[in-house]
Amino acid sequence: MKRSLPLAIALVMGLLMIGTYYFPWMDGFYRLVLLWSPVIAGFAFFLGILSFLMHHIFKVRRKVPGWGYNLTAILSFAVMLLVGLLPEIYPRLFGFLGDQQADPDASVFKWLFGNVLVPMEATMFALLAFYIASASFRAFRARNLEATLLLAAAILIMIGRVPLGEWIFPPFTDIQQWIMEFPNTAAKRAIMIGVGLGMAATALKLMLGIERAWIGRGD
Amino acid sequence: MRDFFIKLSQMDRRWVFLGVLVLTVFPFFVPMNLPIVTTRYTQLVYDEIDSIKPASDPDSKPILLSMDYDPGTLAELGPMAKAILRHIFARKGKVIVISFMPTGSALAEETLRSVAREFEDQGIKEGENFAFLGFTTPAAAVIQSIGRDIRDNYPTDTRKVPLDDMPMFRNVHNYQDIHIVLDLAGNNYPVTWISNAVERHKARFAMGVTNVMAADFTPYIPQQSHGMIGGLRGAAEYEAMIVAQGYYPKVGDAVRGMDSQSIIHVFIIGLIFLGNLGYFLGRKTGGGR
Amino acid sequence: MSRYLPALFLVLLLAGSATAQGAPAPPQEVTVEDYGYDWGGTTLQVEWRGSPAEQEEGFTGYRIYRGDTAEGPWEAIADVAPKPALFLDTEAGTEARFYRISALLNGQESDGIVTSGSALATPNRFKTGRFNSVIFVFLFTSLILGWIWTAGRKIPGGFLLGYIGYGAVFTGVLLFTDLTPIWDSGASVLLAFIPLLIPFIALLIPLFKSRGDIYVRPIPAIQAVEEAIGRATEMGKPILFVPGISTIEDVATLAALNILSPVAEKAAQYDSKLIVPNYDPIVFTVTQEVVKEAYLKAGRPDAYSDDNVFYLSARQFAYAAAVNGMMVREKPATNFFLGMFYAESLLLAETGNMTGAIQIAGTDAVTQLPFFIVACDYTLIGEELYAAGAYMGGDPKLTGGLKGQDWNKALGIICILVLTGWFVFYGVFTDPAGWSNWIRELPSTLFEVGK
Repeated sequence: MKRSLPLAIALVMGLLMIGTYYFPWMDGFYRLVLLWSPVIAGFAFFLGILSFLMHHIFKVRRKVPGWGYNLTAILSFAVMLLVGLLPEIYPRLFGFLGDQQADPDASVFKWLFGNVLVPMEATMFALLAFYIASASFRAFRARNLEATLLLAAAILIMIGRVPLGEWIFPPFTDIQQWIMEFPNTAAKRAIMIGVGLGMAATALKLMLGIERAWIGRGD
Repeated sequence: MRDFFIKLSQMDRRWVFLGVLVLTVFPFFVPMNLPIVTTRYTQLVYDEIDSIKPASDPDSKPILLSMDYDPGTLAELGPMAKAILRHIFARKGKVIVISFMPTGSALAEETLRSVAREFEDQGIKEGENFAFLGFTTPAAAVIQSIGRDIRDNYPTDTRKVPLDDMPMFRNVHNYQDIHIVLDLAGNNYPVTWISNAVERHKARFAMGVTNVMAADFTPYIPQQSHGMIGGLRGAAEYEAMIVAQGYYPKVGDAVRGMDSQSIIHVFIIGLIFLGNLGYFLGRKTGGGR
Repeated sequence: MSRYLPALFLVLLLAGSATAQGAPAPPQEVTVEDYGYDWGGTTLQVEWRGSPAEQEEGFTGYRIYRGDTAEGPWEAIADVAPKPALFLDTEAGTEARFYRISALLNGQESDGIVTSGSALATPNRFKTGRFNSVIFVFLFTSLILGWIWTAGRKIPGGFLLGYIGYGAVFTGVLLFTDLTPIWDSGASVLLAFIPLLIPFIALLIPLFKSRGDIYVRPIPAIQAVEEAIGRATEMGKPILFVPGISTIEDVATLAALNILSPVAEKAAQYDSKLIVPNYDPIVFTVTQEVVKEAYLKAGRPDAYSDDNVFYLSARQFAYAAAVNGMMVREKPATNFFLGMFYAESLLLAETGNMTGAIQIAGTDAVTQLPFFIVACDYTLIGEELYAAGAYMGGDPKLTGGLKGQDWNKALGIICILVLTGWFVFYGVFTDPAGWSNWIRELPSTLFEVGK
């Protein structure tokens, strides 16, 4: 029962969702499912938050090495939650934290968002530039014919994508565009077609309960 | 000499990081003013937006701008959003801004309001030229509901002003009343738009995406998407175009960023060259792997 | 006088062309039909061929009128952009309607062109345009199901019956559709396929007969999994498993979970610590369950701890930063990056590379593949990720599914080659306006019914 019920739900919902693609009178059902999913996700978020807090509190209490980071995570969570929630619930008591909608500039929540979260995330993204440089330095070696071709294409793309390339030799842009539009798109489409077939086949196997590792492999 | 190159090709990656840092920052002090050539996909988007009518024209249709990016991809998509909004406002057009990213909506609003402020003295007003409808979810359902009426999911804007009280929403109901939908995204949302708005409701659509994602979306042009602005490079082209057409006095962050990008690309090519030089020299002496 | 005649003509001619320039040429071939996708039955679809004036400066689009008779009275209902040359009238109601369309150039309106007939909006039981896809779904699934059901055993008695029943269900679905609009749209060729469905199945059966074990091409990344887990055990260091940053409905995530199960089982057997940080709360609840089950199956339920499978953050870069931090602090011996990834792919893989871990990645995100390939030891490319579960599970039904998938791919390749050849041949050798038109357009007719 523990295993056959989820499999049955997967099969029935799978068939119904396929039905919505073909039958107009099932459009209402399709919209209903779209509305359900964020509700279910909302409940799952509670579980996520619970796990998050348990994980970090556990480490802080055990004083495992580096528990200061865990404490920072818990505190950041608490601060963002309170600063965002309190002025909405008790506007009279916590009005000094600012209203996010009416006056975004005076809101502490927005300030933290714009001046802490945004720069931190941008920093993480910016690391990409450094890592791309080091990864290509380490990995791009003309070991054989295929690697050499790849290397040549990479260099042509890199130089053709920037204004400096045009300045050095104008046709670089066109060569770059050609590589992107033809060999690149061809390879990409081949992978995409394979991925598409694989997706459909996997979905079929999931619906039929043949592929059941996602609910625990035991049978 | 040979040993030196072999050693150089195996240098610690922290030297590479240092090089990237120095070379990225350098052009901010010494601008290079490299010429920026417009590519076809960007030109297509530009032409679409350039064909809007001023809000005063009774036939004017708004642009629906979906800003679906978050702080991580702000560096690439922020300049793009600014350039597009400046173009729209300089043409006195109308724009409706929405967002499907919970943390992107704050960025979207900030960008929209700061650009609108630049054009305040030219008569750009909230409710007449622009409206911010904020964050809603789930994207697929909302996109479909706009196919019936935009009011279904957005009865008011974020200030709680009903859409019907704003002059720019007169006669605007669904995709047939929208000039073009433009999605700026650092993720897969363009596909959500294409399958739900373009395929189901025949909406006109174009997109602006990050450089990495750009290659993913080329197969959709021109059938499903009327064009694409790809990454910082695309944003720089757009900035250069609105300046060349006299819509805006000066270029912005994207063009400046192109200098850094140019140098870094050359730097990486140099690194690859160096790495291979060491590799070959090492192989000849039998010392390398 | 006679010498001035030509000049006079010229002036008249110029004057004539000037008036012609004022009002644009109207659109052509205006048609109206029932919109084949709605159940409400109040929508009509109007299509036309664009006016030649579309190329001119100042062309703004078309004006659409609706009327109850071919003579009017006309009610202007919308102004539309030049492209797409299509208008959906969602308020057509339940009466027969005519439409009239005119072109707009510089504020001037052309003559209106009226549809040759009227159309009545009707409720559709079936989305007409998706008729062809039913047939493709049938071909696809019957190949895969055939392989799955017969894999690793002799064809069972009920198989034949079940298979024919399957064909009958599809035939039923097709007969349930409204055939008239499909017939009208010129795709009658497709209808010929319906009676062919059941014989087609009979044709397939010999394909599944008489064979031994199914051969699958070895994938190095999958062969390396066991070695990678063993390495972690030897070094006494943990294994990190990142299930991607997408939601549970993403097939890539499900495929990652299919690999997580055997990986967790092996880790439990070898007594290695397995860390699974999660991005999506729903995926988190599932990974927790999968790992718990795997430990139970390995006979080590005591070794499982909620502390090792946990939820981190649903912010992309916060998640990447946290996982990177873990890699730097705990120095796992083996990293798995399986599922859907975006820009954080290289951030994770390059950090793992720095800490010296052996790394196995797999994703169907084509743009992220290059990053994984340069920074990881092994990479599962696209569909290999989906296939991995079958490789590791050792279930003949799963390998049978792979075989069916390959047959579908082969069919796809043949289709692409034939169609490409078809268009090239008719592009090169035949006059496009000639008798061969319907042959030339046959593929489009087959693939775009009702569009």
